[in-house]
Amino acid sequence: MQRGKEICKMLKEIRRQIAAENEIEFVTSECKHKGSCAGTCPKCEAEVVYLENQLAARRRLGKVVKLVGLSMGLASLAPVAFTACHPQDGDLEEPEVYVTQGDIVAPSSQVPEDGQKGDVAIAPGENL
Amino acid sequence: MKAKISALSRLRIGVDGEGVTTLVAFMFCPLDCKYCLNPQTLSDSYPFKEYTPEELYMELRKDELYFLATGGGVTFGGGEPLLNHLFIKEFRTVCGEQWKINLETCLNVPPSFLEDVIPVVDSYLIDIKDIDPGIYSSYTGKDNGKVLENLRILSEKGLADKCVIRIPEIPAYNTKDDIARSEAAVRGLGFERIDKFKYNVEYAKRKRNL
Repeated sequence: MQRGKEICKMLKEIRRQIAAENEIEFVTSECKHKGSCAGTCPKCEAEVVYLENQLAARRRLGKVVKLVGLSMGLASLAPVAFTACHPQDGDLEEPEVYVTQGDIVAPSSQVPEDGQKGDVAIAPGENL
Repeated sequence: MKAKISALSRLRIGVDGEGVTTLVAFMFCPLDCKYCLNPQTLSDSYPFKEYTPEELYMELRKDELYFLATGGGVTFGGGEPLLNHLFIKEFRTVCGEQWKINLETCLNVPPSFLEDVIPVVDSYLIDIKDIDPGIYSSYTGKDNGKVLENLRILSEKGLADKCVIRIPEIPAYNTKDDIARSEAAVRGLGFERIDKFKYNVEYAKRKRNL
């Protein structure tokens, strides 16, 4: 699930940028997870909550919070077309991960057994 | 006000809108496309969950840091999101101005539905199928008169630059020449952002369990 790992890396970089721009101490580590990745996990989500709390604290102290548009460039570097439904240059090979424009894919092959949830949800009873 | 939602797909990057987006897939669609990617949205025999705009906002705000940092936000798809035009309008009131709201739509809805959301939508991904009424009807089971009317509305309001017009190659339904005619027609209406691609029939069949 290479795509999930790529998303995870990009999101981690966004978190790093937010922390750096707002002078928030932020220590993270490379993910050691070997299996499939849905782009996020409880550890990643905890880092988001930590940042939110730190930003809220800055606001309470009357400090400026830099957030809007901070990582625009990073997100635009993401591959736009990586699906068989949206091929490039006539490449019609099937992708490793089916995530297409408008498509909602079943999480079964992307959510590892250790409880990571990236929420490519298809069963509302489980994921919504 | 509540809407039936079949799925939420978080942390999408470079798929359906700028930045990091969450796809909100509504239930139901006016079309019955032969290669529909999300056939589970066509009938309420498939599980769904009902949300108010406030409840949906509370669910999505966990990714607000990413939305704001990357210029992303919410992409409403489905199903056909414009069937829930009032919900989308209300959602904008709840989420505020900073999140981007994108629509993935077929535009085959009454023009008043579109006009309701125009003030709150940042970008449109419009799959027109094929401009030829016969091909359109054969593939979707519906007439495309409303699609053309809504395209004209968007063009006349100067919103063409907010739209990406998706023109698919639909195996067994249209040809390269048909696609060229579709492209010429939408360019004639003032749309310049065109996305041509090919439907993945095998994948759609697997999802429909044909």
